[in-house]
Amino acid sequence: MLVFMLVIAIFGPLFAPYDPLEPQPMNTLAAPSWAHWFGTDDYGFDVFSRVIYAARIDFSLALLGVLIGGGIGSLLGAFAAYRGGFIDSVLLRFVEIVQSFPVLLFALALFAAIGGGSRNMVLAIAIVNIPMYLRIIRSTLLPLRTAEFIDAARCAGLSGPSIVIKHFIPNAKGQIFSLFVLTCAYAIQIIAGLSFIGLGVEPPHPEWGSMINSGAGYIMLGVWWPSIFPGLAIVLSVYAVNGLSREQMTGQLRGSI
Amino acid sequence: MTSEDTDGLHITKKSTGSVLARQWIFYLVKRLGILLIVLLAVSILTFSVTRFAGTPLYAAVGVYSTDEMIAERKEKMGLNKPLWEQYTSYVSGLMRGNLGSSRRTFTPVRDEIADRLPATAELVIFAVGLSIFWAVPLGALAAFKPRGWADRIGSSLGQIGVSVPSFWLGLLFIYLLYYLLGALPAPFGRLGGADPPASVTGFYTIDALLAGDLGLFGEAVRYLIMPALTLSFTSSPPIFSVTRSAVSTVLGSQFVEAARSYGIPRRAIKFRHVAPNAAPPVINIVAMTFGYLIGGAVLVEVVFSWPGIGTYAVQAMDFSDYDPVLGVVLLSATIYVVVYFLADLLQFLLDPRLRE
Repeated sequence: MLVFMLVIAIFGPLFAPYDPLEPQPMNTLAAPSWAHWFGTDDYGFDVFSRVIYAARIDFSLALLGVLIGGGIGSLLGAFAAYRGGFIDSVLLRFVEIVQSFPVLLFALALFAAIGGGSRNMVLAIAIVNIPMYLRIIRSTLLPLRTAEFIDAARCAGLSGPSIVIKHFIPNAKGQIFSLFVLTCAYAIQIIAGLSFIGLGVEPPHPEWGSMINSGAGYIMLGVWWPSIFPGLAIVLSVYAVNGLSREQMTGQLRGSI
Repeated sequence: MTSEDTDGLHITKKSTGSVLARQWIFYLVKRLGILLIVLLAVSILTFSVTRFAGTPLYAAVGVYSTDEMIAERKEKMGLNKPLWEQYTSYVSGLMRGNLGSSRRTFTPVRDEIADRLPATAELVIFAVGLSIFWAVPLGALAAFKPRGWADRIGSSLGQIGVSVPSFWLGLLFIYLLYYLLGALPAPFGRLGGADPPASVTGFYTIDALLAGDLGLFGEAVRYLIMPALTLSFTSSPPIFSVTRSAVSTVLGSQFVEAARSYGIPRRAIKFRHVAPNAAPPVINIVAMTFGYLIGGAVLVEVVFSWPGIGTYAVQAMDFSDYDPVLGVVLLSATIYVVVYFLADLLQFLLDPRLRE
């Protein structure tokens, strides 16, 4: 299923029957039919084409944010585990502070300061991810501080940063990967949520959350397709990504037995 | 913390009680210290947002202003003082409950939030109550019988619950329960157009009961069901999984084995031995969920036009009206941190093992 979603994200434009940015003003809010599989929305955009194009935007923003935040967070976590002491506790306080905000409200405060839009959304996702990686990578690697091979590396004259990168990080590979999967799923939801309240990707660019928002007003009138289909795309992608983490975890268990 | 329950454990140590009390106070002070540091950092963060978001200056003087007007305003608003002095006056304002005022309505943010907080609190309490009602028993049943029906239902609901965006689920409920079935009212806030009951607590359900108006109470509940169901569905998976793992840990422990081998009836084991020992982590996660949802219900509030603090922040954001946004951020972060602290404390009080 994940492969399917990724193929859509990468090759989607080849399948999309219509231009996602070209409205048909004569044909608004049309129910799903052979011509428009997922119907059309209030501007006459083809919902099917937009759902497909949006996969690219949502996936790439989520990936970018998680890669930046996860990278910084993992390095800081490994560093905290290596150094301990004052730096460790300062970093832990930082984690507590960032995590004491509900994610969406944190993004609201950030956007109040620097404005919304795709770029700042990536920044928000990166910042939210740093503490998650920091905390978990730190606690995974904490036992290594006193491990013999680290002592050996130190005696061999390796500097602190290179010990952290060459000997700490590789030991957390499994953890980092499963966190990566989980946080990607989470990031997709955050992006959709922020765009839903009009702060993320600006319409008319196709994005699942903002598509749901544009259809929300019509759902009470029974017009369900402009909102329900993009939402299904979110559910499927998040479920698929989470599925990867479930498989990966059972794989790990199998490996350890 | 009486001497009796410690004496039972440490017969040989005489001063155990006072040592424990000292440790306890130490722990309390340490946690309080952390709490204060976090709150301080939160206030620094919101303060820096107010300085970033274009100083309050231009909002006050307008675009067409002379240099002298700006200089005079700066003097008046204290913007030419050093940054730390501005910060201290900001924090002392916060201490006195001054959250600034809305640019749109010219009303103090504190009053506007006070008006809206009961709506959010009522919704969240209802949602968390709903979650306790289904996730805790299901989690316990799942632990009693791993891979049984309760486990399967609970885990698949959990997997769906974490994959489904809350705002979309809300819309789906609106389509199914309002449009197709007509079972529940349209998503227009707490009572639609009806007059709210005379305000005593701000909770419409309780106020309606106090006024003796059962019809109104029913209406208030009907309006609550959909948003509460949505919130409950997406926020209860952790409650289910924590309950499941807490109960199964206790079930695997030696004292339960011992109780079984004494021939104590299963029912008694479940309620007298398993339940109290598995309770602390469950209470903890429920409290955390509650603390989180006060600020985390934003999207669901928006979907149902629920007049709570989340909708308030989002609406203010649309008008670049930042004081309300920051007020809501500050409040919900504070509530979360304080609830987190209280949950920890409660855990400590409930579980004597932690005190050692």
